[in-house]
Amino acid sequence: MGNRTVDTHIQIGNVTFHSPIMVASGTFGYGFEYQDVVDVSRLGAVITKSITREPRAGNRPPRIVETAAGMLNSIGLANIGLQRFVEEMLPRYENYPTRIIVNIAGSTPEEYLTVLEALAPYPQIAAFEMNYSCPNVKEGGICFGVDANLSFNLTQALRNITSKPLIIKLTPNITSPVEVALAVQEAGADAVSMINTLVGMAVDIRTWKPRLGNITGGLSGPAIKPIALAQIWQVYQEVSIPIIGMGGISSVNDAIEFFLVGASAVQIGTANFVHPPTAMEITSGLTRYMQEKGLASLQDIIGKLKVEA
Amino acid sequence: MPYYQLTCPIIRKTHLTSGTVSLWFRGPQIAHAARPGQFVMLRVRNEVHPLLRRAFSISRCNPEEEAFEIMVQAAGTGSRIILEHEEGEMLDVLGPLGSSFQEVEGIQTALLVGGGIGIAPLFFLAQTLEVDYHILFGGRSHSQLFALPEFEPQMRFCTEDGSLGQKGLVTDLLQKTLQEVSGKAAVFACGPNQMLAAVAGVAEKTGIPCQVSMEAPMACGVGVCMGCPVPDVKGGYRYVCKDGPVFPAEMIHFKQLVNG
Ligand SMILES: Cc1cc2nc3c(=O)[nH]c(=O)nc-3n(C[C@H](O)[C@H](O)[C@H](O)COP(=O)(O)OP(=O)(O)OC[C@H]3O[C@@H](n4cnc5c(N)ncnc54)[C@H](O)[C@@H]3O)c2cc1C
Ligand SMILES: Cc1cc2nc3c(=O)[nH]c(=O)nc-3n(C[C@H](O)[C@H](O)[C@H](O)COP(=O)(O)O)c2cc1C
Repeated sequence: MGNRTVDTHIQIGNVTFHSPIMVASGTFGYGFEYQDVVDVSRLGAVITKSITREPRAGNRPPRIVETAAGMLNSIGLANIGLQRFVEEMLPRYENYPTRIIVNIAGSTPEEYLTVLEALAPYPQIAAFEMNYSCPNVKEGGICFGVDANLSFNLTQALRNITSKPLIIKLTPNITSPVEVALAVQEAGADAVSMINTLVGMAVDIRTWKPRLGNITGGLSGPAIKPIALAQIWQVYQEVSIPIIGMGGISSVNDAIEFFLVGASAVQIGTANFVHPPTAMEITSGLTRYMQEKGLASLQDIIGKLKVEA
Repeated sequence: MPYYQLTCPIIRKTHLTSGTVSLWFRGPQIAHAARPGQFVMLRVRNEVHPLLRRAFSISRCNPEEEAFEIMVQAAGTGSRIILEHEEGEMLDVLGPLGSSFQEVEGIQTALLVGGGIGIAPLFFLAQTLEVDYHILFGGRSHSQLFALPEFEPQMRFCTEDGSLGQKGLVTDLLQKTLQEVSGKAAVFACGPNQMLAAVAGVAEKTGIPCQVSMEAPMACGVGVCMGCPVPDVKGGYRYVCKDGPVFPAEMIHFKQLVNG
């Protein structure tokens, strides 16, 4: 096949991204840490570490354990907090070579709203991703993203604050993600992203202690890819807003699987730690794949999984 | 400071002890940029398991050869795979990363205190020192210890079982050596947390500046994942990969570190 140009742009809400390959929250810092070895202009977007209203020191160590083809983390949303983010990062984003999506987390609905209100006016932020995998301290610690009503109400309130793309990051620690996905769609979300990490554990049989200081943590990496694909496929069949897929992607072949089950864009997480240029390489690989297959646009792959009727 | 991702060939491999090897890599940018105390993150192999990179201190540099060395001790799966590599094989290296040992003004003697494989970054430091120094190398038994010819005259050993050098802990050897040195001294230490806590205690009691190089499980090595905190005396955390691995000892809350 020749060098036909392929169109890899995607639209989320009212914003266009030149590539559907992005880097996931918590795995690319604030967007600067990997610039020595990654040309970020090649990425569709950088999603920041979750920002909370107050700075967070994070959980007690150890926070990282490697598991079979994956890792557990119990970082505890350690981040610099809203004020430092505004003062230190926003000026640096004015000339940032690609789009910035700010990920927001909170332990009450008010915290999400305060952070979004503060950040919404800044033009250097292209979109917002809401981390719903956080415990709601006002509702007995139940995670926002497991309750469709809570998710609907919070999303509606967030929607009233901004017309920028609002991406709701769903939790996978749920029987079926469909109900919550439908709720946030109805509340006006522009997209859903999935999956966040799965709750997991590891035990030291020498000491009989948990390997994480926080006892449990979030599992990520290649080990979770089959779960991510299944959840995205479930949601794709029911919702009409775009899905941003992630969970264990480390190669272009992995990414194509995500497009086929219905993702309109993908995020690379843990693979950044292993091989920082992964997202760049997937960007090139995707173009090559589309050229070889004679696919003109991403719409020719998204959700095109072949299933017997 | 910039860092690099390079595919580096192993140009020399030697066995230091039955479970520890020295690997010299050719990697021009890393060899030129590295400062003593800094580390590299090595990809174990191009597979999804073992997944994460492993951290190793740079143990010596040779700018003429554009080469740097690491010393790998067999700990678990990843380090065992790495140390089985032979000369000519290539490994994916990210570095140089982290902070380095800082020069201490006005000292006559540097005391380099290493516990086990923690000795590695102290050789690189010794290569660059312009003052007199002693390398104090402690371990459980003689099978863990080794000497490098270029530093041997400056090396002193101690073992817990007395099988080599002075019997006892490396802090005992440090205290003994401190009595022998005249003039101002500073301590540079690397090893297990328990040992660093004890060394920092000795330095504090005797009023000697002390820098420690620390370890913690880490995923990224570049300040992204926030996985490698150590408690500081202000009640917060410092991150081994980007604030460290080298810290002024007085910054670290050793009691909390050791007791959890
Ligand atoms: C800054 C720094 C410098 C280091 N320098 C050296 C060195 O010069 N020579 C040397 O032999 N070792 C060094 N280590 C320790 C080395 O990284 C571990 O021994 C190695 O990661 C163990 O991996 P494994 O696969 O053999 O063990 P496994 O037990 O299979 O490892 C499982 C996971 O735990 C992590 N892990 C296990 N032990 C440690 C540890 N002590 N520190 C950090 N992470 C750990 C691994 O990275 C891996 O992700 C250093 C560690 C750090 C953080
Ligand atoms: C160390 C680490 C920190 C993370 N921090 C966040 C975070 O702050 N906010 C968030 O929404 N997701 C966070 N995630 C989840 C990732 O963004 C992603 O959803 C998940 O890791 C699955 O993708 P992966 O398998 O490609 O890593 C984190 C993941 C890891 C490994």
